[in-house]
Amino acid sequence: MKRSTERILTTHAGRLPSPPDVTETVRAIQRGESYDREAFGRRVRAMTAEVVRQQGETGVDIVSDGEIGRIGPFWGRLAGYGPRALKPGEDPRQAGTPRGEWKFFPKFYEEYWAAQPMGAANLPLVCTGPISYAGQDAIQAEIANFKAALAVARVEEAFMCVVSPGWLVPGFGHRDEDFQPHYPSEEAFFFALAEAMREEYKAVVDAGFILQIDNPRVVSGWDVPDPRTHRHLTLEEYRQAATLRVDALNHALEGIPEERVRHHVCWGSWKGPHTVDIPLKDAIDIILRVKAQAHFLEASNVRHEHEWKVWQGVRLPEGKILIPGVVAHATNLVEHPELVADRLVRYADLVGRENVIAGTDCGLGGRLHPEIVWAKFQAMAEGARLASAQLWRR
Amino acid sequence: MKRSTERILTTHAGSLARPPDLLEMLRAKTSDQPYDPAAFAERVRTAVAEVVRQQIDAGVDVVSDGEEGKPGFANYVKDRLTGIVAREGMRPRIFSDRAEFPDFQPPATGAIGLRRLVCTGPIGWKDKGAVQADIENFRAALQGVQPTEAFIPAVSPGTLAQNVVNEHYKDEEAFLYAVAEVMREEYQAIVQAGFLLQIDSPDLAMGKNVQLADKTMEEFRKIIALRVEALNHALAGIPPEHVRHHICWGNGEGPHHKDVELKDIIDILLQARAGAIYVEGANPRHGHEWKVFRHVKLPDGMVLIAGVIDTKTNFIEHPELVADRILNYASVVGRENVIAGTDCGFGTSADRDRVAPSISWAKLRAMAEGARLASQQLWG
Repeated sequence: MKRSTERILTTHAGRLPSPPDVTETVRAIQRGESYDREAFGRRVRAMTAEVVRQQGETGVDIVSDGEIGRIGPFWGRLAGYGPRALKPGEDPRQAGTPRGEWKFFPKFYEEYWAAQPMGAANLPLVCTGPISYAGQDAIQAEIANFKAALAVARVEEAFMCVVSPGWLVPGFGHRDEDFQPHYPSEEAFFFALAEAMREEYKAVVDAGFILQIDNPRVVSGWDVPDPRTHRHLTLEEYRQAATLRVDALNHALEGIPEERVRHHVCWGSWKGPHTVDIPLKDAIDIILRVKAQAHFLEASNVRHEHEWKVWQGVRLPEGKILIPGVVAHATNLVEHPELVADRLVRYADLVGRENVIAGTDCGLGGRLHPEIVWAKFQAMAEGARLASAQLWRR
Repeated sequence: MKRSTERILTTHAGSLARPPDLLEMLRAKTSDQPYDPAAFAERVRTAVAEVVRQQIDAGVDVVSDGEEGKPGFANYVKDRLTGIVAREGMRPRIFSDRAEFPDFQPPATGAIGLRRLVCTGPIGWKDKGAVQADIENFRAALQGVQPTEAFIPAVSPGTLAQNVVNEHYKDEEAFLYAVAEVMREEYQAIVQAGFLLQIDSPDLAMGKNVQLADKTMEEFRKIIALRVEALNHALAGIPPEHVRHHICWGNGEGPHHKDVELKDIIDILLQARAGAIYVEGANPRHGHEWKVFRHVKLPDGMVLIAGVIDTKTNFIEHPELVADRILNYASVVGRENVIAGTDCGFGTSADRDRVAPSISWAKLRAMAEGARLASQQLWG
């Protein structure tokens, strides 16, 4: 994995803006409707090339395929674990995340979620039999598209995103009905998921890409009550549950060289108050257990910006890289490059300039208007230039 | 004006969330629909009392009347002054930052989006009682509570001269000074009633992105220097220590990447006869500008009110981040010269809420908590 040896490199969290027609087809596929596979495939290939070109143009060093045309996280890539029908009155938008924060801002959340599009990707997932990987065709098609796009682009490095096993199991706490009778315990269930997902991780790395593991739940599960008891977990219980998910992730990563893996953690990308987000300091030791060379954390939205100070007390282990978010999905305002530079210099002062790569808090695609996304990348690149000028002149 | 002698004081930019039923009445009134003036006046009175109590509960030290009865921080003058009419179907205002991103859709501006104020005759007072009603409502609301201090916002002459289309006066300067002459009476009334006066001057910063986007920096600086002179003319006779001067780059959640830099206008802003200068400092386009005060000396006796809470997004600032921001400002201008504020108002216009009301109050609580953390560090 490249690091910032001569200047601060830039990257982002993976997802990039999709054109409206691609998004429409994705929704149609989720609804089970028929579509023109060949035409869609061509369109996705062309748009992947387009976003790779745009990343290069806007100063992104470590680029992704933008997840263009991807049908939800891990959609249809597993046998034995998939969506179930809704129970009467069940709202899938809330099924995954009945957050504790709702009770403090009930009207805000009611209106916010009512305005969110609901697709089949929101359906709850259940275990219906032994779990195995069924996504080779899908991931190989993505790899081929990305390789074709990169053949004509000049970039420092390229990465692809895959979710962590824990991502697929919303809500923390213990739920027998999620895995019984097919697995005897929660641990066995998570490890079976991990083994199936390992195949996709390996496919990405074998293709020569950096693998980004998207692992929001390690922190964003904090405000989700135990689905059986509807009770919030204590910090100790939460840390146990998060540790099990990290253990499963590490099991999935077995055999994959650590220097090919970066680990993205986020507190959930909805634009709400986030007042009950678990503080980074209470989860950082668990995050650092993940067998990845780089850890990628939100650091520019107003709920987490102050957490650069966590690194005053926590040492970044030898050889690791920290990718802080220096531009945010939380607002349309385009960060001033000087502010981006200030943020990067703070991190560099604490963990060393060669161990910092500039990133975005979360994936900006689908969360901000495309034009704002590219403007934020430019601001990030300019901020990284300003920071590099400061950090390498000394 | 009180300053942060023992701890960091907190305030905000004036306008606050309005209750839904009052919003309904305001919208009817603004769009010339029938409404009950007596019921409206009574609801404004109770709403002011409510927001005063809510500010105190949230830990705000220097409180306002929330501008509950005004349809917007600037256009409220239409009902108070002669010579100004509303006209439908005007050209929309072009924001140069948004123009660069042609299919970025800003949130709808509502039914009155294309209504503009136009000056068609001599500016004068038609309802001097309106400011007295603001004062009486606020006084009544302050009965039995003891905030550190209280302020009422009023729009600057420059903002009116910029927002209102002049079809009567011979040129912009004549219009500007006519507005200044008239608005002076509102400023004096507020100060004579014992309140701090906050002058709202978005024109001095936001103007470069909107109405004056086509001007060069030199031209823009000349125009805003003239507006500051007109403001000082309007403020003549009012002791500066009763005046705080709020500058803003516009409260919309657009890209803002064309915003004029504070460093390029700060010398002119500091010419205003105000005891406090109040600037945005929390949103990501202006979060770095606390460093401007490393090189620019705050005039002796002047207070800096710094935005440490953003008013454009629903994320609530972590109190530790608020404290960090306050500490940055204190490190460059001295702890006793800093008051913590919000970037802009939470109820800039009655047309819509940018931040959900429940979240706006939680943001003010986060500010108070952040000020407490900062004070602990600054005073030990």
